[in-house]
Amino acid sequence: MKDRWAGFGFLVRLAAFPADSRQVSVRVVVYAEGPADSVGEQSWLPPPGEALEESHLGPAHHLVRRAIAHGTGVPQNAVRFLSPLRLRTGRHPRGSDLLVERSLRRLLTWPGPERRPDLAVVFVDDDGTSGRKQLLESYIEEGISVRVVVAVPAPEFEGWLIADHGAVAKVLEPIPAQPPAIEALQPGQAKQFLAEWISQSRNAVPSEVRSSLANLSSLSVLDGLGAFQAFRRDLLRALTG
Amino acid sequence: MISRAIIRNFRCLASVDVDFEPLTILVGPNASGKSSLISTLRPDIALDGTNAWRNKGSAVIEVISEGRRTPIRSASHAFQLLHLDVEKIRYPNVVQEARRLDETGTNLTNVFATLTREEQNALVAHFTKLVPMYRDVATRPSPQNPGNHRLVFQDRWSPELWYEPTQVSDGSMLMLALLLVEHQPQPVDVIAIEEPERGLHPYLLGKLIESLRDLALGRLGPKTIQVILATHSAELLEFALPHEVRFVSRRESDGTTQVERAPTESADWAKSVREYEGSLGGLWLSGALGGVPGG
Repeated sequence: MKDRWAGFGFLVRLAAFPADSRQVSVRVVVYAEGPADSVGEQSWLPPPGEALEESHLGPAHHLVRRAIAHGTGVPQNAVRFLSPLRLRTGRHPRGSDLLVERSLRRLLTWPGPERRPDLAVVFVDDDGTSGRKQLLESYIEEGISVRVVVAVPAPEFEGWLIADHGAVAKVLEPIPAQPPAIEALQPGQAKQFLAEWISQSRNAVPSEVRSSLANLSSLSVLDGLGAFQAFRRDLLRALTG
Repeated sequence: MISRAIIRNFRCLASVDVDFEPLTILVGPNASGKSSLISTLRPDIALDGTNAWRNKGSAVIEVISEGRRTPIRSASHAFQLLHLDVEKIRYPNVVQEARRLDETGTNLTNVFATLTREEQNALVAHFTKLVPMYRDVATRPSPQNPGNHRLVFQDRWSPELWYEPTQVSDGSMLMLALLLVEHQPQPVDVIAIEEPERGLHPYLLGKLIESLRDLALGRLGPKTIQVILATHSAELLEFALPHEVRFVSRRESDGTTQVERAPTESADWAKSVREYEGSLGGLWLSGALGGVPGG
């Protein structure tokens, strides 16, 4: 199994699992705009650097895990998410903190190898701006030791969650009408669509709906979105570079 | 000086080896094991089942001092713990000789009164330099309680005004008690201080840490006292040197305590410190060094 992943360079790390066999794991930290993207049903996170449990994972984690598995062949259960760093005040970072160069750089700074993840993924909504991805990448161009992927969904992360109407139809009832081209929506519209659909759906729990959509959406359909395609391309490059 | 403690099966310290410096700062969340770690340095500590991890078996603690490995119960160092109580340090004392502060500082007045005039003057000079709204500190008989006395503090600008301990700020009282450590008539080899930052302005905190470091490194004279501090304070860490700090936390997997050092040998250490503009407190609160809770 190790040989199969030999091409993934730095990413392949041996880790002692509770069982006596040794397996491969990829340690990933995810930062996203808000708790709805990055936090699951359980919002009390373990200390930074500790492993997250399945109940901690939000839709952003699910998409990252599926994209890594699909792009590299690493099994999904070998993708392990770690609790992210906080700001220097101890506060959890908010979306606006990710847009500040100093904060972003600090959130991607681990002083020792033991606590450093193999990969960090930063999700920041495009919000109708242009060049946000390039700007954030320029912030971390130098002096950051961890591999980083900056993903900028357009116009926002919820657009990715509602882009595959097949998945939407499986998760929500009544089945909502298919929205127009996702990346042509105005900022806030995708968020609004999803919120309305959830409120109209019987017994829908928002965090469960969002996670289900992230897990059920077809990656090939999402590849039709330019920003998602760029995310997948960058992810693969980071993992194999 | 105690350079290392090897701890097995003691409370939450199921298996911990800790290196100590002349000044060591233990930082971590509530209930992470800082106080237990301090207790392991007490030569009179009980090692029976009541102090064993999960109350099973018995604890084993050894310390390495001057190159010799010794069971803690056979160690000969004089140990003092200070967890000062801001109310009790103001109490009048029944007049009697006291050569060392007790754990809560209740006998502060008696210890002050037991100092030589020279030591009192040195202590007051240090205190009034750091807390310059006072000109002098003295003891006076307590009017309501015959046989008792209390500390009084002279106003800097109106020398006729002497303040009662209840009129003096918490920080000033705590500072006096902490500065007194250096002058105690019965000195100790190791002193542990819980939450030394309480009530202190950050400027004063810096001065206190400098003084304690000087004491621990023997810069204040012939008396060298190893100092161990336990804190939750990011402000205090701003005055610490990275090699002095131990990050204490519970393992998520089984609740046992782990003690980590800053990875100062790592290639990324200097870069990380630069990224945080030299703020060890900020780096700690980010969670990148350990010793923080979940939430």
